Amino acid sequence: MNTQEITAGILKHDEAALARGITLTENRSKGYLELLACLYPASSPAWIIGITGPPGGGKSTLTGKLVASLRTDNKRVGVIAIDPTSPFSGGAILGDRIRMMDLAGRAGVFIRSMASRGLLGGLSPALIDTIALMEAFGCGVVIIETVGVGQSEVDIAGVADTTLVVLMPGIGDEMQVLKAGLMEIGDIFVVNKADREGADELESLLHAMLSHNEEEKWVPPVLKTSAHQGKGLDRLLKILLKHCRYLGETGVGREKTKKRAELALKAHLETILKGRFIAPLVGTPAWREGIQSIVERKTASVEVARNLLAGEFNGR
Amino acid sequence: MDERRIRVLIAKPGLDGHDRGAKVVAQALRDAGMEVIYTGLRRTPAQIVSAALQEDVQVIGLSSLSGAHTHLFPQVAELLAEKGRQDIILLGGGIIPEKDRKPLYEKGFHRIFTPGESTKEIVSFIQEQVACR
Repeated sequence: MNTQEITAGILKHDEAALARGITLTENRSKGYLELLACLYPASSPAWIIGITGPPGGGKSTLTGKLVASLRTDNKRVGVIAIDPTSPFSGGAILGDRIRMMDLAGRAGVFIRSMASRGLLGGLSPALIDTIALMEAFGCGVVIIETVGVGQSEVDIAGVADTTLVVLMPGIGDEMQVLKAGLMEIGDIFVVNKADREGADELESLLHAMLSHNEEEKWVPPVLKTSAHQGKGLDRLLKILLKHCRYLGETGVGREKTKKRAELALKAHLETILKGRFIAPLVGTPAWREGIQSIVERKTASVEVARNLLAGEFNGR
Repeated sequence: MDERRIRVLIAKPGLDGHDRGAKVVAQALRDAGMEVIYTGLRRTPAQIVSAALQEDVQVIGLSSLSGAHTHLFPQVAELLAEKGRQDIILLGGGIIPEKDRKPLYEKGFHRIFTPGESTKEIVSFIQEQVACR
């Protein structure tokens, strides 16, 4: 398929075209810029739901169940499931789809697995652009599911309109919950696998930690679910829809959209600059000299970095 | 900057319950820098093909230890042909008797790997095949 065919296909809700478009965009292959130039202005904003939390909490199972409920209005739903790329091999095992395979082939549900491709923190340009493609395809809801490790959960909150934090009992140290920054980013907190011991305690702890901020118009609710058993999901859906209405009725939705645009622009600029200034430096004679100088304790790494860049600018 | 990665879908059609082999292969492909969408046990040919198309994979690897290869493997090949996607490299692995391999090749499978063949072999085969497309 060429770029025109992909563009036309996506606007006609052709899944093969969307799949191909996402690949082109993710790989930053020739044609992806034209694709976005045509499709972005032709798309309507979707409700973006971010689902994050520590590994093993049942996010994928929960996502799968939510998709089914969100489809009831004949909405098209897009799901982007992100798993980490191995920093050693550059490969990845993308295993979130397993929990959602009942949805495979179901009309109106498009699931795409994406590897983080080396981005430890910061928003992925490919993710931003893939959301745009799904919106052009006609997805009224886009769910982004990601493992909450390091910075990634904070970044998802920057992209999403509604952020769901999924925790489970028995994670041990409650300080982990406090530390991780998760408390600040969730719009809704879910204690999944609530049939397990410690669920009530975790729920109480979360309530206590969240209710201190009375200034906020939206106090993040905490609820228990058991995605596997199908419990608590109706209530979760109601709360999600409530948040969606809240975003629309107050100015908060518009603020988030603006914030998202800023983050997206910064992410793209950073990536482009890295490609333009850093990548060409690696392995050059100046680079190798710099490394040697650092190893021999002659020059601090920050000075080497500044010299390399100054050299770059002077040389142009 | 072109950042192409080889994307592979690994699935077990039918009622097989053992996926150690499939997981070992998935790991090996990951270690070779590929992105592996592992879809797990008990998948139907329709689910497998639908997933493969959404994920825009270049390779599908099917694993069977209990005879699913006779009926379900060809069904995957047929569905792919219906969708005009014979360009996807179709591989099979597991317990597949010698006599059953030729019919699978005729149906569109590119290679059948069996226990004893190294994961290195699988990786090289995939890399070579993708390179010449």
